[in-house]
Amino acid sequence: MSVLVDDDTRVVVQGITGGEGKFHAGQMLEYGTNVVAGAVPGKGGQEVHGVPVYDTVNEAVEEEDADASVVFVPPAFAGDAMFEALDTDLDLVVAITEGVPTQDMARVKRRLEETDTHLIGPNCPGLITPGEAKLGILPGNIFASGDVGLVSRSGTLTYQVVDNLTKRGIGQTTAIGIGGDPIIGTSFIDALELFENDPDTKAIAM
Amino acid sequence: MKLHEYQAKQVFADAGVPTPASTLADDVDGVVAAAEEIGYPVAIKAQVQVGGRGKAGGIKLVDDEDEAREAADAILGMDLKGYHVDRVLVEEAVDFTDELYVGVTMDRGAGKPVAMVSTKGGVDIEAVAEETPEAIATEHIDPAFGMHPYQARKAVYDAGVDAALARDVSSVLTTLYRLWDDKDGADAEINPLMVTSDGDVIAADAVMNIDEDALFRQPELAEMEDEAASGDALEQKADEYNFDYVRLEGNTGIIGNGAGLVMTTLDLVDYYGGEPANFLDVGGGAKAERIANALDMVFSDENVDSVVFNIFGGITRGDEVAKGINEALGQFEEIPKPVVVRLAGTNWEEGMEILNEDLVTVEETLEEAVKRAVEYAEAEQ
Repeated sequence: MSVLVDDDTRVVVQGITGGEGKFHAGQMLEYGTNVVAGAVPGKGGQEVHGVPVYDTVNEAVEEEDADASVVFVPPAFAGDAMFEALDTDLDLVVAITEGVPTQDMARVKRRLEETDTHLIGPNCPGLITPGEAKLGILPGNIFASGDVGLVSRSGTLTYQVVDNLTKRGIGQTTAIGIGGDPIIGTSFIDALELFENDPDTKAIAM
Repeated sequence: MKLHEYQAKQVFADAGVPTPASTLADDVDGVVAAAEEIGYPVAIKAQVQVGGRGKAGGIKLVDDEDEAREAADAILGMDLKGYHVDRVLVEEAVDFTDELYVGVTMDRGAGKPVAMVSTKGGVDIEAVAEETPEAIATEHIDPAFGMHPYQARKAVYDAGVDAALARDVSSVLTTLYRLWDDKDGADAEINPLMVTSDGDVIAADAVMNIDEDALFRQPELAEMEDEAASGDALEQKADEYNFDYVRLEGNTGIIGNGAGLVMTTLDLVDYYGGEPANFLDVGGGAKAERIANALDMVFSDENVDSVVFNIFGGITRGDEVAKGINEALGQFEEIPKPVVVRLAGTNWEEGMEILNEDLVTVEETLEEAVKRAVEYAEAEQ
């Protein structure tokens, strides 16, 4: 068990044709994540790492049955990308982008309240259920499956803590980097509630 | 990014907020000429971005030319809490009967903008918020709709503003919110909003801070950014390189990616008996050039006796970091100070292969890397 993501999660990568999007879509695939589509306006019909690219998120969701998205869109357009994702019936949106204007995030957060979607980030490393799926930029090799849930605002400090856990034989159910921005989609309290409702999470590192 | 008072006032005035007549001056004769033009009495106000300018001697009220010369001579060139004053605003002195506060900021907890009004203007509003929070009327704004006119009125009435002024103060608050919204404000405030003996309101001070992440779409505000306003040479260099950098007292230089990880490294340096020379976060996804700039940055601090690199790659790739370190160190005949590197995460193995061990010491764990850097720093002394 895990929270938010597992090996059934079907992922669309927004911004898959950009440098970071392409690199990390490859890393996610290599980890075993079901990356089923990319979404980039004007790039519909292309393929990246063998994954079909669509012009809109909606098309990617309809054609490939995606239920989660990861946003690698530059900061000026990231707010719009999050709105686009929230206007489909995705269960989860993970915004990696750093430097999104705060007022854009206030509007996204307002929209988020009207939906059942979980938003992680922005300015975050994403989340991972070890051995099943990673959505974001976390280095997969340092994680191990186990019964500790992990949640942190910091990206690289999360890696450091996980590295220490794994080296001591303590695996993780799911690790979530919620992001360090003033306005974020999922708070510590939201994440704690998710872990509390997960029967396999025995302890939480925060 | 903080606008200077004169810049914020110009932005407010352009939007229709009443402001006193004023002119910027950078020498004594300029001050006197401006004062003659405006008419005595005038206030002479240092244009530096620190709070409590008045108490620190940076604001003086003058009645004639002699006083203006004396005050201008004292303020121009003075050191105000670490900032050199090279410009003053010469401003019409307002004959006021009361001082109000109006402001707009982002309530991070609520994730919404909040408009604020208080009749306790003219003092430190944060002290008012702490001691008598009920003296500040607050109104949260739905970012999907913006501020409704009734919300401005409600905040003004809730604050207990004199009924005769309610319309004018509501109008100022409405304009302030619009500016905050249009210009990607972080904070916008007028403190004090003076009430004149004629029953008008006028913005006697102006604060406008802009969200740095939104400057790309506020080009006219980005142009106002004043590089010269920031502290010492090292901090200016950090600004040029766009690093989050804080100089500290010690001699172990620290470079890392991610604020949390850099702070952990600082703690470990302290734990192993060393003293951190700085905090430097290269941020996410740093490429070779940025890594080289970080080394240049830390080597520019003459107190530094050793450097520890702590990189845990996510979006940052170990191979790029290693290339940057090699490039930066390859430029020296002799490496100025010993450098210890610890790479983990994305592409760390590739990075370890690239690193030239003739130039740097490589450690596999954070603890060993920090210990080694502290040892080097002690040996250099």
